Amino acid sequence: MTLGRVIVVVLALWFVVGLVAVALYQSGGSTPPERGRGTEVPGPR
Amino acid sequence: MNHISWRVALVVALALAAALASPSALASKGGSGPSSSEAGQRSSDFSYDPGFAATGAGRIVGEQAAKRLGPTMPCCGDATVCWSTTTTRSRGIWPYGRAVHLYTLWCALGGTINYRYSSAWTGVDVLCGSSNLWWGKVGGGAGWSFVDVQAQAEFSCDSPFWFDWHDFLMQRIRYHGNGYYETIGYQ
Repeated sequence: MTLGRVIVVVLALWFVVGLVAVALYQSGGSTPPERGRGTEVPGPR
Repeated sequence: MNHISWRVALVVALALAAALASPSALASKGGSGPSSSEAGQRSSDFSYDPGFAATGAGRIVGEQAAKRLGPTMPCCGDATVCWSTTTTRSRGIWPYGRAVHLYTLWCALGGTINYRYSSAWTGVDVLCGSSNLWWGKVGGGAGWSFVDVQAQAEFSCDSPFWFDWHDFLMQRIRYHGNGYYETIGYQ
């Protein structure tokens, strides 16, 4: 395998890893509930 | 002073005493309660809250409470009641997960907030870190029918490239004096 082909493969892998990383970074997560009721607790002493 | 003058003076004095002792005179003099202008101002302050129409039944204690808290708001227990909740704003999937959590304990007496404690913290996965965590009250509070609390933090995550990724997460929650809360903003 020539040096040029090694570089191409490494760049391709880097590109794939970058795409996956961007997807993981930007997806998922949650927002706070739009509305809810708190749990009733004893007051502070 | 002659006899007739004394009679006139006595009648005038009795009339003044009766006028001062009448209920309307007592009401207009006021006491420890808020003045009518103050009550009117509070009423307008509370009336914009849209979250109470669907928050369930309650009972209004006293005309004054109804004036101060607005007609759509259930309220008013007989003693202080406290609630707590933790809300989370998060983004990303492992190893890029990042979140800001907000815990709030709030108490109310008669639908009016009288105590609030908040604490916030962040959670990050292995490739991220957090900084500039901040939380605090941004609206309402003691003496109001609600309190707004905001929590926010900045995040920096390692990327496969030569730069880092930066993110900002925020949540703003409104806690009501009847135990309900709602999200009024997030980023």
